Amino acid sequence: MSLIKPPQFWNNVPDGSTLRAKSEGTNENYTIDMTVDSSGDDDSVVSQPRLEHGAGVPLVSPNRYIMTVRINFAGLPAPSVTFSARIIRPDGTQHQNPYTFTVSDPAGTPYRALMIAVTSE
Amino acid sequence: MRKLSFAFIPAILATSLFAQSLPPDTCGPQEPVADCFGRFADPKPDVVVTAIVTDVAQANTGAPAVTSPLTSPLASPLKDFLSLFVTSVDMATLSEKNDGALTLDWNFGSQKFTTGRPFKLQAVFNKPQLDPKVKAALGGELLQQQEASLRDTDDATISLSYSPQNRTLGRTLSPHRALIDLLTSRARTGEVEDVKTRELARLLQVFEKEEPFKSNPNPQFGALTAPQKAAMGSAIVSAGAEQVAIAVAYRKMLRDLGVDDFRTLLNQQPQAYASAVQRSRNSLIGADETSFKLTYETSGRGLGSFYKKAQTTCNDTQLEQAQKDSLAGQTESDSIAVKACLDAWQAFRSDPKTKAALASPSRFAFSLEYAGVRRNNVSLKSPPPSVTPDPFTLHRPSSESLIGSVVYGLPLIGNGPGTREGRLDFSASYENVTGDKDRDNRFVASAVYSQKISDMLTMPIGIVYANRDRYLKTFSDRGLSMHFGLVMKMPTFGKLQQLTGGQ
Repeated sequence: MSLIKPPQFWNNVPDGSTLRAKSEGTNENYTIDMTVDSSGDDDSVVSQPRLEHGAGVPLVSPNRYIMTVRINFAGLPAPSVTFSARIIRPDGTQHQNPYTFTVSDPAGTPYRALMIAVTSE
Repeated sequence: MRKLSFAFIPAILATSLFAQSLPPDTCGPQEPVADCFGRFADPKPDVVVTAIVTDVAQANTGAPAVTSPLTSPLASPLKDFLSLFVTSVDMATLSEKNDGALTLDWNFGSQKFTTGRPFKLQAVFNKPQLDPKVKAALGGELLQQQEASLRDTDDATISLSYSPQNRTLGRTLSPHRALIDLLTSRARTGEVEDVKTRELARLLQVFEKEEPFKSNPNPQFGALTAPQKAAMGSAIVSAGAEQVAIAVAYRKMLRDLGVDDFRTLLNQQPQAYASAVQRSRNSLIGADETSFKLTYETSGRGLGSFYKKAQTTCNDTQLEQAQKDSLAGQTESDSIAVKACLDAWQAFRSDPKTKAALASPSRFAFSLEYAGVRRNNVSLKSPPPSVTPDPFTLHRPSSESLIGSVVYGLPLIGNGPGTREGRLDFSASYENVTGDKDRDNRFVASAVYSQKISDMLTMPIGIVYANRDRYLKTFSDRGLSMHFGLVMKMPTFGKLQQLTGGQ
């Protein structure tokens, strides 16, 4: 198990922003999901098909969100998987820096990535 | 690439020195808070390697060739022969090599009927060049005329290959998506609450209106105020330790649920591969060639065996339901389908035959290849006086070859703590040639032991027997020869980046 480093922190996220997350593999031989652990709302899971098509998670204030991405490799050849996430403000502009990484592991090590987003109070 | 690796040495040293200087129980003053959290949240790399196949073979033993790679002394059925297939899985690609050859690759097939894009169509347009004998015979203006008359399409190779990808054949994940989703999502639902990480998030929210967090979400720890340091320092360490515990528990859950066995069994699925290649050339360039190749590889027991065995308790419908329920967060206690399919999977894993297949993943492959070269006649009227006779003619007869190969490979030493993979491969091939006076029928057999010395270095040593030595330089007059060597795999740019932490 490896952690994608460093984790991503976003703060002062404006109410009504959206987390846009997307994953892209060079082939289909991997699994990915993202759990969204919220301090206020119910927790949710963003599935692989949604991530591959580009998912949007609404971020509501006041709230704290912990997003965990899990990637497992199976099947040959192992793909390169690129995950990217960014926060889009209600006015359509990007909030702070986007988060992106690419992993590939034929040995099958599972990967985990963490993101924390806290909204403006 | 070698220059690049030397260039990265200072970066590697700088990275490791920085890592050494960081305090083990708190954040370093110059360390950004997210980086510090990542340092404490990173579980140690796995020390138990349960996956058998750790290396995707670069060699392709499936494409037809005049000399089959399966007849090579170093060929191994443990190597995946489908790498050619997936180099351009998603889209058609057009590339140009240094010699001017244009290559079009296209993997195709729809998800519904032909999972995993099992077809590959490849067209290569080689830079047209006159047959060396024609070139040697001609000269001056006539040679220039003939060279100028060649078109870009005068030396074209088209190949079509097919490798079925379903639950019985092939090693792509798609046909097994339901089972892997069931296992990985079940592992996820077993995770514990991340209370400490929530506390860290709460503190980030508390301090977000204060500097330095106000202007930078990831400031250096040394830039924090004293109250921020006091609160954040311990929160980062605690949340990091919690994340390590969660990650370790998740990894253990994956192992207990058999995700590692799933990977191994998927990599042991039988593979079949069929291909046809047609090379069409202007007679001034050379003869037309046609080849066909069939390859089959098996290791006895793969994931396909699970579906057959589990038909009564976890059929396709139940498995789909289990996948759906598990993705929705349901466990064995909530869903009958999840329970039935997980029970069936665990029963399959504990089957002695499955255990034996997981312990010793030997592989057997055979291939049959036909290669035909058509007759080629070249005739040029009224060549210059220096070229005789008039008309100048060049005749090459047709020839055919049929090659049958069998390969058996088994690992003798597995990858593990303190050991590196060592494997033994036996191969035998027979080539029947007709119509080519420069070649003859021959039989070749080999036994090769390959020991991995490092991730990049493999040492093969083997004995090769050939009943004819026409294509084999031997020091023995009985057709026996010994081979010894070192095979080095150069690191990719991506791995160098990983080594240097992406510096």
